[in-house]
Amino acid sequence: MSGKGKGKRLLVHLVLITFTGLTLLPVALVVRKAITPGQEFELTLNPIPSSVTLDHFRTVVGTSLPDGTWLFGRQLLNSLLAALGTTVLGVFLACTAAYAFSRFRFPGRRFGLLTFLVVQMFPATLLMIPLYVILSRLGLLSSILGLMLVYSTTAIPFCVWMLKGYFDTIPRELEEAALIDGASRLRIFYTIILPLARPAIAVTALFCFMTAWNEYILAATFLGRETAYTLPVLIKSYVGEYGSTQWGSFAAGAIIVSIPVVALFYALQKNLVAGLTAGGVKG
Amino acid sequence: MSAPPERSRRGRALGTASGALLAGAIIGLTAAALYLRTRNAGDQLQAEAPARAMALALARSGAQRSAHDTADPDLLQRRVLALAGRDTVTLATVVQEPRSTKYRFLRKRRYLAHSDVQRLRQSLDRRHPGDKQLYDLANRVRQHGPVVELRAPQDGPVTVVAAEPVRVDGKQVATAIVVTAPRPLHVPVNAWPIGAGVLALGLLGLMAGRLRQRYIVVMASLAGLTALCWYQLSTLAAFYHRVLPIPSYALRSALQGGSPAPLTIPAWPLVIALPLALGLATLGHVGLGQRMVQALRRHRAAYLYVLPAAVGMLLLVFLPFGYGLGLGFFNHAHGTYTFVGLSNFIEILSGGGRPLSHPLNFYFTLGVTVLWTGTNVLLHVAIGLALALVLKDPLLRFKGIYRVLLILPWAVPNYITALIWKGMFHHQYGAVNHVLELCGIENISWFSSFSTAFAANLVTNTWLGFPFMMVVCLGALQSIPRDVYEAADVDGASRWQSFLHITLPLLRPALFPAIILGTIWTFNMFNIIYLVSAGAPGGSTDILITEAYRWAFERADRYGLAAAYALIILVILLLYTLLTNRLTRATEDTYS
Amino acid sequence: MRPTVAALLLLCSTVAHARPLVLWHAYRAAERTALEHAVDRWNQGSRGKDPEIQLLAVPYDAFPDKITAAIPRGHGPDLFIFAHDRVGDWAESRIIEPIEFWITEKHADRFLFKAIDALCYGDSLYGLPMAFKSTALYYNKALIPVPPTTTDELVALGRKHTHREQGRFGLVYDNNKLYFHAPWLFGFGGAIFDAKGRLVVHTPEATAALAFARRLGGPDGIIPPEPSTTLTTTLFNQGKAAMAISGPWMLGEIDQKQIQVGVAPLPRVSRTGKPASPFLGAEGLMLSSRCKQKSAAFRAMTFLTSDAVAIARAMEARQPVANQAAWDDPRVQRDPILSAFRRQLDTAQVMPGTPQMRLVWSPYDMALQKVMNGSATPDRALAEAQTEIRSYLSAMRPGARK
Repeated sequence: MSGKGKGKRLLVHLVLITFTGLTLLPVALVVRKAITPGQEFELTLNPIPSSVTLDHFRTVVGTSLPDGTWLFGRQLLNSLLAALGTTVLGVFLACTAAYAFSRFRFPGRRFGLLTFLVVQMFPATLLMIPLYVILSRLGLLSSILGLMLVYSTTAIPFCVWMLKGYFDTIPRELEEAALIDGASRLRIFYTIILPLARPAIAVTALFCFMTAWNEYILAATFLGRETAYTLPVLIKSYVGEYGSTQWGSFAAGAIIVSIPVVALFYALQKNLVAGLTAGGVKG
Repeated sequence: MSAPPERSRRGRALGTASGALLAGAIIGLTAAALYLRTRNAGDQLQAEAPARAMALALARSGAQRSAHDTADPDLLQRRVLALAGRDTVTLATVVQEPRSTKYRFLRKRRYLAHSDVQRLRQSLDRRHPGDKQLYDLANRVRQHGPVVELRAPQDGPVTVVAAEPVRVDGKQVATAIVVTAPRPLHVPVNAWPIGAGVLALGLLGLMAGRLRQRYIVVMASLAGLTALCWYQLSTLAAFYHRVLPIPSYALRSALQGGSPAPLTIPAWPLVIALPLALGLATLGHVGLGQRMVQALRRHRAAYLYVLPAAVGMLLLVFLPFGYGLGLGFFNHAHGTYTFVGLSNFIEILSGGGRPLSHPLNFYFTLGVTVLWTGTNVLLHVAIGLALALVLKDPLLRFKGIYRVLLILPWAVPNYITALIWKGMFHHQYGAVNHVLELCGIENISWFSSFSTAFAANLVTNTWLGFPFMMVVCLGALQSIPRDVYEAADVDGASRWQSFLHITLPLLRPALFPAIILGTIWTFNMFNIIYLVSAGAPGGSTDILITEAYRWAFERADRYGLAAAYALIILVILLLYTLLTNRLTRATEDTYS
Repeated sequence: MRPTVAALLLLCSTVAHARPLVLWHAYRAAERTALEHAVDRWNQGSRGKDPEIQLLAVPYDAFPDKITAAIPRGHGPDLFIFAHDRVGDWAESRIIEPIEFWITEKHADRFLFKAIDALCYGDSLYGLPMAFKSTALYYNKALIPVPPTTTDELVALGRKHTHREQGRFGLVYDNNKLYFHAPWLFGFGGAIFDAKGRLVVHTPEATAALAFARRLGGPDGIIPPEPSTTLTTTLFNQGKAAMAISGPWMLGEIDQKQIQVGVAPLPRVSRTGKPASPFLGAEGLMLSSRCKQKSAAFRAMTFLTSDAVAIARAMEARQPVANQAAWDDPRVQRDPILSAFRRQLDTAQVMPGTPQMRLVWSPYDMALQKVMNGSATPDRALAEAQTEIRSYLSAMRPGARK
């Protein structure tokens, strides 16, 4: 490349690095708090800690009941179960519905799509009591299955929208050819559509995972045993009355909770970029 | 595929009239059924009434006489036993003035009359659980007046409890209490079969559109409904009370859950069946029924695909959603919900009697919310798009790393990053002011004026929200083929022109759903406003959702008002979506 | 024989005997451990006689909503420990059970009067106090060897230690919250509700108190701008604040190796001679109205608030317990900080636990905010707060009483 192009690229890198640095500053502050001893909130801007300790991580990871049960392990497992279960259930429910919205023209189609959008508009804080009543009638109150159902159904509207947009970009000729060859709709769905839509499914899975993984208030209200709690409840328990917070443990918990999400992002990165082309352009 | 049968004007009029009649009949008779079930509770109370009244009268007179200390306790006891009947337990307690001037909650208490002779004139026994119930009941009567209620633990045996104050010379000296022995709950009406019956008749009405003899079917369904409800009516003695508005009663009994109210009625069967039956029958009778059935049959594959999601959504999203919508019509106080109609909405939409510039005025908050949403979405899209344009260059190294790093604001839980940002905006110790000092600008007190507090919220939320937009734009940009740009280059278009005329239009289909969703999410972005500025100064940076939250959880638990707010938010967002849909046709797929 | 109600109830209680008593709490760290030890002792001692206690820790901010959602629907705990400020609401909603039926005067005398009085509502008692909390004056012994006893001394000492450019201040506390402003309010003779229960927010005394707070927290005062509880702890810990007004919860967050911390009761207001009285909160052990083993639960309550257990809690967790006997114990007396909180109790004002009181916080906090950032005068701010609170009170259903 010419010298000018190289210089331009260098400039671009410089801008990107500065911007990324600024963006990461608050995150760096959280990391710093997690590895600095002491439980108070630090005010300085310097992201380099004065002294390093892994005590906070040890405290959080080592949380256990007096009788020896490793609480953190159980709660991590609960969070994983809830998040993965939500992902599987949410993806399944959204895929089938989105396929129908995309491929079929049936009465109530536009209404259904609009409804999916509308239910996202209602703030969820007030829906806690009816969900509580419904779950208790179904006997699912203090169980991960109950949480899983709530999370997946609340994630469905967004997933249906995104998946439908992606399904729209898959040309119908493929399906029509297969139909002529005598394949059933179901077979087409599993062997042709799903593999092609893998990127969008990855996106949907990621969103379902994030919704379930970070959710706090429903988990704290519905779960009735400490061994049934999820990780966000553990982390929020470091915040006490009158705002007094054990900042070190709080920050360490936040970092621990972010790691799986970042890892998942990294793994799905390629799919992610191609997958969010909702109703996008044909190449 | 046959067309609907030819209908004369008279036929159509008859069809509409019969449809309306059927609808009215379904509403009325279902209302009656539900109401009558409710009244069983009242009936239970009524049946006990004579015995109860007598027992209470006796207890009253006994207490009055005792207060004047001229009673013959044995005679009184025998009369109580004789007249109260074998099935009631009658008691009267005395709650005296505080025995201890130090503790206002300590009182002497003893029985004046009791159906158990052993207890007569004895102090209430601390170890006796029944005595505690009576003592608490006496306290309630002292504070809130006479009490008559059914105690039905989980539809088990029912006891009727009645208590009233006994006054001597205008002062309350005792409480007369009657508790009946447990007996099974008398419920001749079961809601499920009736709900199913109503639904079946509605379906019948729907099908009627296909038949030539549809009027016969109409008459048959009407007759069936009448018979069903006559059965209900005939099991009861009288029918005097006023009919309650069904949705409010059903909703109220669902809302109050286990609160001690006269029997919670599981009204779900009827609450679900009624609107469904109504809708189906009316559709049938205006001729759409046949078309719908045909459509159902033709598209059954589609409906089958949608079914799993729909069922899940119905139970766990639409039902609570319906609850939330209905809650706006109620007022909540200490666990009891009362139907107040539109008064919550009127209170909000009239600005609550406050001037327009007052932060608690709905329109002020609405304005702030609209400003908030607009600026946020604008910034998110601008920054996201700019970054995407920079990062789309396939020859740029470390793209992957930049992408992952730039996504971190989204990954770290926002309840901690919001607090970090709040700390950074602190007047004295915050990082932002330190940086400004280095640049020579003097310290800003971020949270003491509206514009700066708003800016603080804006910066925080932009930081949180641009990763999402960046990724959307990346995806969309990568699907635009390079040859389009190359062709534009060849034609001599500048970079700005190619951006404006090629990139933007091709991005629109991808961007608009994301923008709509982003708008909805930002409109309801609770965490940032609540944690960063907390509405400062004086509640002016609060948006509609934080106002609703404050009404529900910080100011007197007014859940009804908060739900009304939420409903208004919903309507606003819905209007916005419909408007933008019309303008951009974005929800139409591009391949039909 | 006809079954009487009492017999039926007795039957129910024996049948339900085997199930453990569920106790919810929001304790963390040392307090939680102390509670667990106490519960262990109960469980060991109750074999065969009484049901065991099962603990559940719930995060603090989700606690009240969880109680309000769970108990009416039958999924709540049998007992729970929480601050008393919602007693009125919960009593009106019939969520908690009145227990004075089982209390004798001797039993009540075991506790500090203010602590047990806090758990009363409408002439009934709704819980037994485990501990009490109020704010007091924390001071850095290295900077301030002798704590101030009047507000004039407080201001003078504060000015001495305030160097704004260096970021050092004489005093720090969250002056945007009524809870922390209350000492000045009561010290100047103001109040929120008068003896008859009428709202007296906008009075000359309250205005004077607010003006004093403004002097402390204004642009040339001794308090940093935009203080919060987080900032209080941080600045005090770093030695940048000589004094702080906070409660026992801050104790666990102070690095005792770096800062020599002392606690003293709040000073007297020089102008009126009255002591600055902070709000007193009682942490009560309350009984759910849906509990199926109420007598057993009451026995558990009695045990957990017994003197021996209270002393253990005070020693292990430095909890300001509510039992008189604990304060007579020399081991507890030796702790200077606990003794300081005990002395503060004498001048503290019990926070009303009525539903009406809960309406006061939000508008009053807003008034404080406006005064502190200079956008309203104390008089105007209090007048607006009074109007606002009046409108909430009138919107409340008339059935709820004090």
